[in-house]
Amino acid sequence: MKGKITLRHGDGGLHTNKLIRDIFYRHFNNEILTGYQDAAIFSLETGRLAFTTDSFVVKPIFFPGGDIGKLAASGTINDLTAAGAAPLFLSTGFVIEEGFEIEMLDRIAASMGQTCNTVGAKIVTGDTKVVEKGLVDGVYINTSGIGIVHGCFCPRRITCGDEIILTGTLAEHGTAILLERYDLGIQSDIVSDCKPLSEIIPALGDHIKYVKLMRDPTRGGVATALCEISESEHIGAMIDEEKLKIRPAVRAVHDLLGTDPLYFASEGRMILVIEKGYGMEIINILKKLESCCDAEIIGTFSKMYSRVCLRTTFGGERILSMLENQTISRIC
Amino acid sequence: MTQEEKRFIEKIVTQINESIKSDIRIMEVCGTHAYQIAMFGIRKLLTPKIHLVSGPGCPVCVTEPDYIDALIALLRHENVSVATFGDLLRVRGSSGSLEEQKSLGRKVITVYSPEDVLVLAKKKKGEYIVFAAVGFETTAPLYAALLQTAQKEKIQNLFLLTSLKRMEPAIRFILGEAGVHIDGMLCPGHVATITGIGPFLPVTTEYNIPAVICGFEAMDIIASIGILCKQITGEVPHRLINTYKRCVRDTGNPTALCLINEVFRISDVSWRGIGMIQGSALTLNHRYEVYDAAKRFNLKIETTTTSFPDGCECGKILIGEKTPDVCNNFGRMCTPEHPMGPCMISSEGACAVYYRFGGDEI
Amino acid sequence: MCVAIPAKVIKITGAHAEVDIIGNRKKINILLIDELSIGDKVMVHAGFAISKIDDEYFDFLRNIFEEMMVDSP
Repeated sequence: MKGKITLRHGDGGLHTNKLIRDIFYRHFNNEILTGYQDAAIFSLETGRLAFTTDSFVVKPIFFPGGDIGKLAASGTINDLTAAGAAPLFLSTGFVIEEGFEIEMLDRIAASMGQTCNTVGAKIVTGDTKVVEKGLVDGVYINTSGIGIVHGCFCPRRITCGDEIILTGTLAEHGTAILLERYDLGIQSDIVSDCKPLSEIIPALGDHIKYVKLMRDPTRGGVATALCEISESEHIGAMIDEEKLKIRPAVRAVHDLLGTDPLYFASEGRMILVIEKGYGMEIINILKKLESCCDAEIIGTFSKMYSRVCLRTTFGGERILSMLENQTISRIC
Repeated sequence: MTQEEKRFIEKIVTQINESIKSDIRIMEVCGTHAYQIAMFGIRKLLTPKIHLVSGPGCPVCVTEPDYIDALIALLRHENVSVATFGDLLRVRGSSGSLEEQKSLGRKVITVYSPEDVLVLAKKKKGEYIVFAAVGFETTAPLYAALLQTAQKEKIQNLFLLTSLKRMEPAIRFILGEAGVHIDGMLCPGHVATITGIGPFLPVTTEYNIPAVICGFEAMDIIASIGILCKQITGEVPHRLINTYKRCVRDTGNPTALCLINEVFRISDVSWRGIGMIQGSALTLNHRYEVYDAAKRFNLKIETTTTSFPDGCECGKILIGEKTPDVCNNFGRMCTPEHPMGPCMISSEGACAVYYRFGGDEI
Repeated sequence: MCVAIPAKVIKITGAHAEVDIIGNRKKINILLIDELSIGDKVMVHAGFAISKIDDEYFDFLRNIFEEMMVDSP
């Protein structure tokens, strides 16, 4: 399909139908969706369910390593993963700006469909709205997801000695977006790490019982995620800077801009809090996964500290605090 | 960092901690040093007898509110855009900040380099671009190069509103007039990259205080503190040592200094929280005054005496007399989200650094 | 007060150079530097090279310390 989205594509009539069939049904192709009901009907095995929703408004819509479609699918899949659930069914809502290229929409839907396919999740219901030019910036996507929680997963209170795992290098999504969004004049090979992580759950299998908590370090990065956990669990932590993997090019961009990569988002990484003594076992499992091959134990929770602290490479120590505003373009 | 480098750091740290038997105060004049020291967690490595205090080397912190007010006044002109580095966005004048103005739809443009401003001026021919030129000697030659290029290319819609400061008079003020007691000084490596070692010689020759021109890597800072300690304990004589020779030549960057002299002249300026310091400003000289936004738009930047909010200790913190944690507002009423004093606003302000990374108490 | 970062010159065109910052490329202004050659390392502040960077600093710092050890009584 070529051309641009017009208000007619959202009026519920012929054009809407064509758009849904030619783009969404084609890329999300599955029998539940294409049944033409207003609501998806499916059965589930019994057990605990996880249910989550998130909206995506990323700018730019296409970025190195992905696009808003891949992000919207991965984001919801990863939220389910963090709840110990295998993703099953997703819903999606598109709010599209009049004048948006249909070809772009096609690419976005394709990468959403593909992302879901790779993990065996299905987009089973959806909605499209078109709004007048200027009311949204290109396209906004909401995704919700439902999944079955692994029988052995039970989130528990974090206690002294629990180990913290990060499944890979950090800040790549946030940095890739930063470079694209602002005209910084930097050419770089940095790509977003955006990807679904649901393979973690089946890989862990029964070992998931040692996982006390999972959190994907998206907005605010690893530092903010750790601070939030620490605050809500009333326990401090010591993070080992040496164990934090940051690609040199990512580090260099932040050195140049005077920003701190610890506060920049990952969209394909997970923080796992593991019961004391079981960290290495979990690491050995995770490292076999393609999405987690750089997994490391980055620190431990400890009653000795009231906040999240960082031990620097040569033995210094400092606090990792919640950070609201990052100043980019610092001269000082 | 290699194992060898780590061992070197360990060795120096042990030497430092063994040699320092009584309390000493080392001042880092530069905001980037304050930031890096906290970022590397260096305080934790050193004996608590070593007190690292900050000086007035964060240009954003020492910029008077009147200057921000003047920038905001400019934004009321229909066809004026204000270009600024990110640092200045959140600094409050008496009538708000540039960030607030931006959210109100006024034309505030964040730039990453003076080069961007040139591009902007060419692109927006019918508009006036005013560049908020803050900084010390490190940044001054960049503004000078910008104006020289503007002159060459006959760009007429570009102006600077300057608040450029010189380091040496501020250091003299702290060590002389203000009588702040310190035992050693980490001198700002990137200012010295431009100025050379000259402006820092008086620290040892006139005030007899150990001083090191220092770079910004962890090892630079620790090695420099190590050298200061050797001087402080009398192991080696007091003299200015340049540990940042890989960037800092004795005579600085002559091309940059030439440019500064070509474009600017020395004048007086008031420092927020400190007051007037003679000869501490760089302002446009007669050859370049056509680029002076203050003249072009008839702005009066009055240097009123800065008033701080109740209980704010920024005035004392800026000259290293006090540390942020002794201020009653710190961390309670005054946080990076709701800054009261200037040292909390800039990411390199002493209070913001203390708040974010922790001071001595971690 | 002055954030700056080392970079390596890979191309020079008049008043500008393209530099490599650990895998990232950026165009910078080199008006403040005399006699710059490809392969030189420079310190970049706000899009301008402000100085050339000489040697590996570790040996230099270590030498200062070793000299001081000799100096000290």
